[in-house]
Amino acid sequence: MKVKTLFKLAVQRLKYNRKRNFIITILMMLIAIIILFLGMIQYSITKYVESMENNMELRTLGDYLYIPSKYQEIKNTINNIENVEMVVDEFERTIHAGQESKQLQKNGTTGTVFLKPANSKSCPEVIEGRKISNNDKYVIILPNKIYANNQIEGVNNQIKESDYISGEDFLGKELSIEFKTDEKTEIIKFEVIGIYDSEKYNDVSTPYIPMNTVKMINEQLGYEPKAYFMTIVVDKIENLEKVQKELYNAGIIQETKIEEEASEDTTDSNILETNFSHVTNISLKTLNIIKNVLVVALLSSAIILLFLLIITNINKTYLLKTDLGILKIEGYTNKDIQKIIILENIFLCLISIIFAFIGFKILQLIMNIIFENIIQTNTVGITAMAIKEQIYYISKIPQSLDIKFSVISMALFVIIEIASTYLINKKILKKNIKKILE
Amino acid sequence: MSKIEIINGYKEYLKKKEKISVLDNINVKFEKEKLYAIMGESGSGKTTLLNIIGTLDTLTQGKLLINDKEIINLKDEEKAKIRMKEIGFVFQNFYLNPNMTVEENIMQPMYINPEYNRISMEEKTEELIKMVGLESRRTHYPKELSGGEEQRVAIARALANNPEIILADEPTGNLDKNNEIKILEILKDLSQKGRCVIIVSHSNKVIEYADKVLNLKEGKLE
Repeated sequence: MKVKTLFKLAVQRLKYNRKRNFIITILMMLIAIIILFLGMIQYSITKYVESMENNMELRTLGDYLYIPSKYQEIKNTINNIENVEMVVDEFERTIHAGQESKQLQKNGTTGTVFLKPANSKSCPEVIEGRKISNNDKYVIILPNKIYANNQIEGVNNQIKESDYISGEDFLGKELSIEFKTDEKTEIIKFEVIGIYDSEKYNDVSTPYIPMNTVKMINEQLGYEPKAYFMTIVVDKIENLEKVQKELYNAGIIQETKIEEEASEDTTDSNILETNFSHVTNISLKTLNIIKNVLVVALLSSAIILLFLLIITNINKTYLLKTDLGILKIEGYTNKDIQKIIILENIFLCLISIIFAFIGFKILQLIMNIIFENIIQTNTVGITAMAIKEQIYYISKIPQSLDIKFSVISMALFVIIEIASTYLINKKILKKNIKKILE
Repeated sequence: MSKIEIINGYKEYLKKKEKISVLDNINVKFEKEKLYAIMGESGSGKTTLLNIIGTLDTLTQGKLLINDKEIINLKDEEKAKIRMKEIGFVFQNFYLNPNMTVEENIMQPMYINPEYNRISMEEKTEELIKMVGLESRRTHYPKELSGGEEQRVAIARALANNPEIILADEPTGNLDKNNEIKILEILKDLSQKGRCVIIVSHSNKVIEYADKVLNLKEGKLE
C-alpha cells in the first residue's frame, strides 16, 4: 500500500470513529498528564534537594572558637582533611559591618546583602563570567536573581517575581557596596566578574568576594573581635559528618554530634552547628525520603496507568472487531490493517500528548493560584500557621518539568500504545474471518 | 474454464476432541454468467461452503480452484489479493461501516486497488450508486437507510473492484418481500452481465432466479 494511501486511510479512520476516539483521547490525555505531573513533582523536589546540597551555607561547619596564636597549625591540620573545601578565620568568614548597595534597592527593599568569602577551590559554579581565583581582590560574584533586603524571607514576606533584580545586568560592571559600622563608613567598588544560578544554589541574597578581600575590609574597618571563630566549608552535605569525625579524631573538637536545631548558645565552641534549621522546616533527610517515596509512587502509578492503557486498547480493538473483519473481506491484508490502525493510534497518541502538555500547564497554573491564595489568606491558630508555613516553603520549590523525562516517558507511552495495539490486533486477525465478524 | 471448482472437498471441526463433519465429499463447479442457489436446512453446511469458496475458511481435505489456481496452500496475503480482485461479498447483516456514508462505504475497498486513482475512484463510485439506485442517499449513514437500501449499498461495495465472483450469504434474510425481489433482481442482472453469482439462502424465492440449484444435506450435495 502506498504511504499516501496509508495516511489517508488512517486520517479517515480518525474522522469515522470520532466519538470513540474522543473518549480514548481524553483517557490517554489524562494518563499522560498524570505521568507528567508525577514526574514534575519528583524532578522538582530532586532539583530542590540538589540546590540545598549545593548551598554553601548548608555545607558549612561552624562556628569553632580558636586561639589566634594556634590558628595556623589548626588550619593546616583541617586543610589536610579530605572533603574540606575551605577554612576561614574570624576575619575571613564574614564582614562585621552593615552591607548595603543602592544599586540593589528595588520596590522598597533596603539593598542589604551578606557578602561571603570564596576562593578558587570553594566558589559557586558560574553560569556567566568566571569564578573567583586566589589572586583576585575587588571582584564579586552575584546570584542571577537578587533580593537584597534586611528582612529575612518568611511566610509574611513573600518575594514576588517582580521584586528580584537581575544579577546578569551587572556583569562586567561595577557594584558599589557601603560598609557601615558604629565608627566608620566605607564605600567600596567591586567588579562583577561572574553570575551563579540562584535556583541551583538556593540563594538569592549572597554575593561572594575573595576570602582575602573579606579580611582586608574587616581590617580597613578596624574590626576588633571579642572572640575568634572559624568556619569550615565541606565539599558536600553528605560529607559533613565524615569531616566532623575527622576533626574529632584529630583532637580538634570534643564531640561529634551535629545539632539540627539552631542553638542559642553560640559561644559553646565545642559543639559544631549546622545551618539546617535556618533554611526550611523540612529537613534534607525528610526531603530525600519524600523524593524516594515519590520515585516509588511514580513507578507504581506508571505501571498501573500502563495497564489501563493496555486494557483501553483491548476494549477499543474488540469494539472494532467487525471493522477488522470487513477490511479483511474487502481484500486488505493483515499487514495493511495493522499499519492503518497503528498509524491511527499514533495520531491519537500525539493528539493526546499535545493536549496533555496543555492540560499540565493549566494544572501548574491552578497550583500556583492555590498556593498564592492560601498564603494570602489570614490564618488563625498555631496549626493553621504551621500549615501555611509548610505550604509556603513547598511553593518555593520550582515547578519544572524535566525535558528528558518528558520526552522519554511520552516516547514510551507511544511505544507501549503501538505494541499493545499490534499484539491485540494480531490476536484478532489470526482468527477465521467469520469468527471475527461474529 | 470453470470459475470455481471444488474437488473432493471435506471440512471437519474439532469440538471437545470430537470430529464434526460439516462438508463431505464435495465436488462442484461454478461457471461465469450463472446464478447458483445453494439451499438446505440450518446446519447443512451452506455457509461453510460459501466461506470456503470465498477463502474465508479452508477445506480440511480436497482442492479449491479459482480460475484454475489452487487456493489451499496460498499465504494469507495472496488470499487477500484474490478477495480484493476476484470476489465480492454480500451478507445478511450487511456489515456496513456505521461511521461512513454510503459513498464512503462503497469506496473503501478501492483504496487498496492500485488500478484506481482518486478520479477513477469517484467515477466508479458514482456508477455503482446509480446502478443500485441510491443517488439521493449518497451522503447518508447506514442508520438512516432502510434494510433494502443498506443491502444495495453492500452490493455496490461488493462490486467496487470489479470482481467476477459474487458470494451472497442470505442476502435477503433481513428484508421484506419487495426488497427481497429488488435485491434478487440486481444479483440476477449481475450474473447475466458475466459474473458468477452464488447465493446461500433459505428462501424459495431465490430458486426462481437461479440458473442452478444445489441442495446440501448434512454436508453432502444431492
